[in-house]
Amino acid sequence: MGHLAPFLAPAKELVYLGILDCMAKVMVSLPDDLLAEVDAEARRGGTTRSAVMRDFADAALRRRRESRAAAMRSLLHDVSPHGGRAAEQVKATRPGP
Amino acid sequence: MTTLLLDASVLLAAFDPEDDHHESARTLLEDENATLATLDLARYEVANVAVRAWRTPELVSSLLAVIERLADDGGVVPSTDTLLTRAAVIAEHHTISVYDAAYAAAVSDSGHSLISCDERDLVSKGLAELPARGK
Repeated sequence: MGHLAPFLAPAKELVYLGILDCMAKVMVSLPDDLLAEVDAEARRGGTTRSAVMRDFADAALRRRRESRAAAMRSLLHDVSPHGGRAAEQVKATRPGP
Repeated sequence: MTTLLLDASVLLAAFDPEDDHHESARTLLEDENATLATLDLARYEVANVAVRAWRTPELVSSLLAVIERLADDGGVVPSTDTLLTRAAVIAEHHTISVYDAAYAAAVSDSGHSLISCDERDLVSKGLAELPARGK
């Protein structure tokens, strides 16, 4: 983090230090044209390449979870009683020894 | 964010209002903030319970649809030789079936958490958490 010091005010540096403490650094391979788009997005948003990729990944995973949750609400809309004890039912219907 | 791996009992409990874990299982499946997964074994187990215990084969497609939605979220873990070899060790150590141990093996090296309604063989042995705890 020392190399960032000249660019950050003390309070801001502490915030970044806190954030970066819980982040892994990874190497990602991207096609040149995709990287150019990511960089353009970073320039437009006044942020970093890492932040753009982080936000995109977070948004994609969130959309996936929301889609699954909506599908579950639909699938579980009309359920009927079956006597409970699901764990025991699973064991009782497994092939015997 | 930790991925929660659900066993067949959780999926079945969500379909059965008479199950003690129905509300928590359902809430978990509908949670937009959790990434959910399961093991391929769950396909056989939910279908088996629907047909042999519940006598409602017409529910099989809905139960399998739930698993397909998990496949699109955290995924359906395949029961590979490696996983089942690890399951055999867990089964022997905890005196449980290889079926139950397979779910525990699926989370053992992944950092995922196993969620189950099986208090006797999984939750009581510290291998899984109840659906209400998975929140």
